[in-house]
Amino acid sequence: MINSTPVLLLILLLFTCIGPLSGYSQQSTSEEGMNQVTRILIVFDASESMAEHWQSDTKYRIAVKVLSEILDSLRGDKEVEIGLRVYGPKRAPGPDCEDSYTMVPLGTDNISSIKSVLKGLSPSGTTPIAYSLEQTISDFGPCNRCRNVVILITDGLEACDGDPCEVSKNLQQKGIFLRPFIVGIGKDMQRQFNCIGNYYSAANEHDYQRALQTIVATTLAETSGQINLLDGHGDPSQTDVHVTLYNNVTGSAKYSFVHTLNENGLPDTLELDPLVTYDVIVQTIPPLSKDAVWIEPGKHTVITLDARQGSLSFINEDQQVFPCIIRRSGTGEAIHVQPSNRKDKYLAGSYDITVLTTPRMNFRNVDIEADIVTQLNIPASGSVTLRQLTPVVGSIYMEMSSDSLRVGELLWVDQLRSDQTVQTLSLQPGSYIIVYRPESSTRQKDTMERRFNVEAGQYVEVEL
Amino acid sequence: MKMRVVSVLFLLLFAVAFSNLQAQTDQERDLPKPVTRILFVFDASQSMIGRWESDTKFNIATRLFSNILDSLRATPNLELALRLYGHQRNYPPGDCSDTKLEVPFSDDNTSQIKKVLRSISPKGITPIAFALSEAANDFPPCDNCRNIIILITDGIEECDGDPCLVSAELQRQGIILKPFIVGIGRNFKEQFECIGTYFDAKDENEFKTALKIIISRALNPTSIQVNLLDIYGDPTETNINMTFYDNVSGKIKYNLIHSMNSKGYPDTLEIDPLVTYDIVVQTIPPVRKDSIRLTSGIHTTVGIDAPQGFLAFRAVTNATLKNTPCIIRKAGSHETINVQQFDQQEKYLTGKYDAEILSLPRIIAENIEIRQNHTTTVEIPRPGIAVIQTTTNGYGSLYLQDKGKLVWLYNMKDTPAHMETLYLQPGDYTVVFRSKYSNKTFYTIEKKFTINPGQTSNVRLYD
Repeated sequence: MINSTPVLLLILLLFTCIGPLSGYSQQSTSEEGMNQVTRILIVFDASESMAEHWQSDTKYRIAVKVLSEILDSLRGDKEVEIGLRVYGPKRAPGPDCEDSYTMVPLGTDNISSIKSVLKGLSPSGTTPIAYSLEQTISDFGPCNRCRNVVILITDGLEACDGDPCEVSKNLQQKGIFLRPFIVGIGKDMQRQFNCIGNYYSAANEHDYQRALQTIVATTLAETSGQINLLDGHGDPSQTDVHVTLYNNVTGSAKYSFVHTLNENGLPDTLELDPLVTYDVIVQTIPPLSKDAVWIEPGKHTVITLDARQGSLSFINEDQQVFPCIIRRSGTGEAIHVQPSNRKDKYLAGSYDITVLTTPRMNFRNVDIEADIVTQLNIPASGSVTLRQLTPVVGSIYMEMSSDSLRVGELLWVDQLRSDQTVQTLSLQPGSYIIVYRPESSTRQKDTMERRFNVEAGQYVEVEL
Repeated sequence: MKMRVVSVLFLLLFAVAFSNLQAQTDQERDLPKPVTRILFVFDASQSMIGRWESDTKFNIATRLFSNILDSLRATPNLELALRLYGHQRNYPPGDCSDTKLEVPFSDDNTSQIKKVLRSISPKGITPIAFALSEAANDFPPCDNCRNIIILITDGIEECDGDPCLVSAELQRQGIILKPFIVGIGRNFKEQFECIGTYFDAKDENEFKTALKIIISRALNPTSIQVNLLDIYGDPTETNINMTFYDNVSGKIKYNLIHSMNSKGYPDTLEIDPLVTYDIVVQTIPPVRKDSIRLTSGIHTTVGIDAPQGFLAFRAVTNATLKNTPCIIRKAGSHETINVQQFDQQEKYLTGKYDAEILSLPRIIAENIEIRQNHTTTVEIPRPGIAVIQTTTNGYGSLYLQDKGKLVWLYNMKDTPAHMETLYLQPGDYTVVFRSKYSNKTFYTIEKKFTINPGQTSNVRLYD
């Protein structure tokens, strides 16, 4: 990894430079589509307390002034829409807990109107944070290729019995908005606001400006990542598997792609949304996962998973293709059914394999080693035709061979079917016994045994 | 008379069948009567000269034994043999290998056995363990023989051997059935019980009785009837294979198809009473009943719970699922008990089962209840067809969309055909594909499609 760092950096630089200029997005097909729009909704506190004196002026006027400067810097960015919601602008006889309004709907080229609306308001009401967050549902409206970001600027806590934490969590899960940003003016309210989103404390004007700058940079930073799938030597050489990055909060697939090595043989770089925490699932067999992966905004994050894989194939001497059931050693759950004529890749480890020959073949604790093809042998079966002269009842057994622990015992293979006068079976090589009796007989003494050997590729006819 | 004609016809048919047979087969077995072989291991050690009741122990034992032998003369399917110990070397010091098969097995040698016994005089030591281990070779190989040892002795092992171990080993190997021992004079029950069934003979009368009981136990016909019980406790289940294993040797003694006789009752089987049986009834899953002991000469009825019902699978049309394997497990268990073809009905013990149908995607039906004489049908939707087309080779996977999550189902074949046809159960699917020749993640193609029952969806992985 250390050796490849300069190359990675170079690639990263290339992407951060070329990316925005060419409008070329590395993103794969995903729910967001290709031309993503970032929608920033500013939820602004115009409650009475904002009129208080702070530093050089009132809190409200300073907050508006600094925000206006930041907004000016976003002018002309076609991929960013901005909107304004304000709470507490009305002077009411008592506290009005629905005192929250869309002042400027989300859109481009509306920075001037946001600035002038803010200038024209005077802070006077209460602080209905939970209610305001709920109202953002209608502000955002449905959009498949949008990243919805809330920036809450407030100097006070919820004043209306709402539960802003719960509302925020709920709306994030529903995918209404990404994890919100909060700037707390004056007092440190970190403890109360941490559950709503990323909290920034603004004890003074300077802190406030820094906080807004950081939030905007974080939101719009070109951020990339790569997924290193390590082989047995610790090198990121494993590839060509499907990788899904799920939004850890909403559970929806955010990116879905077939893992690729670029021209240099290194894992291809992806542009990632830094405001999302990811659950990564790599569709090896069985799947690999890495939960709650955090991506640093503006940086290149390498996500590493141990994906040592080996292959399993069958040397099948038979014409037939058998389903082969693959389980993790000692478990019952089938993770895959591999047809015997295929070669499939598995994570290195120990597996139990059942081949649906007749009788079934069981391979226990098969070690699939990294970068190695493990081969299992399926002998050619023989073909057996059973003819019933009169309908019979009975079963077919295999005699356990001498290398089995249960030597001498009979392994039940199949029932005879009295409704089929001719029954054709493909049986694995071995010695078999058919124990049967005419269906119409009333005496156990009429039970008969018929022994026969099956050899690979041979045809045997047995009349009962 | 009519019956005889039928059975002759039957035999003829089988004779014809044999001649056609290409495989190596064994002769059909119409349960021929087994030959009972009794080896008497007789004590001729020095102590047998000791006085007992009216005469010496040896003389009395020989006289009473001879009477029993006379009664066995001309018994069909019976062979006898005699091994002595302690009759060749004087004690002391005695010789621990002093034992010899004096009369080998034959069906007409009672006179010879009597003659040998009259002609020798007891003089040596008591090497019981060695005599038993040697006795293993006295039984010539035989497929349908019951090998019994009757040990007649007035003393315990004197040669540091372990007769218990030898006896257990010979029984385990299936060479002999559990031996009988008659102890003359003193009570050796404690020392001999591990060797076999012990009879105490304090006096002449007891000795005579013991021999009679042993002979009758060995030769009395004994029968067993196995009642396969349904859920109501009635013996209605039948036509199932039952295997009787010898509990000690693990060997198969009888392998039969359970039958109802002409009166509708479970058929009776004549059976060796000297064996303890483990019975396996080959239902799915099999039912076992272990350590079944019989009393000689008495009819025993064994009840085994084997209530059964049927399991079937069904889709609107079975054509595409016909050969789909369905893995059957006991509910909640990991162990496969059967693989049933989708279009075949199968019988199971009543109870709850899980079935995993190897359709695409696999369908797991849990807690399927099988009820007595009832057919439980698991119905699944009719599959549809997906024709997935690409323009190049590449890496592709097929997923089921399940509540926003993608569940991996299948990796597409990397073949030049550029087309794959898959039978899929109705549902929403996603296929993710990237050309083999692309080195950009960006070129991943993702297509969603829906499969409806019986309908074909064309999925083109190119634009």
